[in-house]
Amino acid sequence: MISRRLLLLDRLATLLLAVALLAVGMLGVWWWTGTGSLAPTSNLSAAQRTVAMDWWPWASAVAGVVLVYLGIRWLASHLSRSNVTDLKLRGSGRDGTLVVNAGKVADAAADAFADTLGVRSAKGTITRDRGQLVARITAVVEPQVDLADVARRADLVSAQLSQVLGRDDLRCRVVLSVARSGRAPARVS
Amino acid sequence: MTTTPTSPVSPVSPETPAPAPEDALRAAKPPVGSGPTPLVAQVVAVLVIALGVVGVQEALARTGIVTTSWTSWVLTHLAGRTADFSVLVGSVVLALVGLALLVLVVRPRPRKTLTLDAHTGVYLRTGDLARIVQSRVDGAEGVTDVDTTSQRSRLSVGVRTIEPAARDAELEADVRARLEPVFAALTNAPRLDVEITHQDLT
Repeated sequence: MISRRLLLLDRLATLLLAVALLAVGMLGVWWWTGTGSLAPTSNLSAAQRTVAMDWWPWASAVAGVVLVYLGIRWLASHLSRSNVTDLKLRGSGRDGTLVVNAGKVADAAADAFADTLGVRSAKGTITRDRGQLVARITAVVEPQVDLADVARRADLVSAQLSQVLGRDDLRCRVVLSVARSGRAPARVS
Repeated sequence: MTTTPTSPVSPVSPETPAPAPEDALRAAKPPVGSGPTPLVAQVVAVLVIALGVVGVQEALARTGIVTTSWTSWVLTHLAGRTADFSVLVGSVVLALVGLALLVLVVRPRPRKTLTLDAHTGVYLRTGDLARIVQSRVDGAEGVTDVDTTSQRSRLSVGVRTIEPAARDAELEADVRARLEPVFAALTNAPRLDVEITHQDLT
């Protein structure tokens, strides 16, 4: 899951690229029409003079290294996850901190949810999403599932999670996807 | 004397009553897709890295480690260029790509789920509703084939039947009745369109 900050950065970069491409494209069309004050042939003497300066190679090297570093960090940030590893429990204070492994708790909740009739499998994580601390359960259900029953069961599991963790700021999201084919019911002999 | 092993401390004491569904955690914001901007941004990131490599190559060329400067080569080839037809084509393509990216940026993040009626947040992928509907309608009497497409606001069910046209109303009522429990579980059920086609057995 991509963080809100990274998504904002991505949108800003896409917006800048879009505006730059539009501006260059419109400038090129304007140049081609020959109606403006632009010269009929391109004149890059100013750029060639700059490149010939003594400081240019060092400046471009420094800028190059910075750009490579920023580009790699930007790419790598798309691979990182916003999962929460530890959660502080109610009762933490100056005398001590009660911490629980968030992944294990979410897995336990997912396991409890997976026991529901019609739920094939479930996985749980606790993440930060759009400013909220979210217990997220993703489950695969059978095509014949009773949605109302699954919703009731999700409420129960969510209530148990609330009781166990006692975190008022924790929200819950259960996302269901339906298996492509239903499982054949087990034979009883 | 035997000692009873101590059980791990449970955050919930045995006296705590079992929670009710109403005590469920509040619903998180509905899931939304990230849209195509992260993909575009990753392309931009690769371009930024490439630009950085060009900068470093320029320094290497000036110190004599490599023979040709890419920057000088580009400037030499662009200098003295006239505004010919290829400039027009390239400019129009760039402007169109820019316009397309602008549309992508302003589009809201896609919502691809339907909300189930629950105290906590329970969501079903919109496209997957079709599979549930398909499994419900498949067993209807006289139905030989079912084709379903689901969107957030509309669900289309195409039913192929061997029954005579006189039974269309009955068949449609049967399909709607079969889907009623599914729709009752959703907070905002999509509009249902049932289309019946007849299979010619002759």
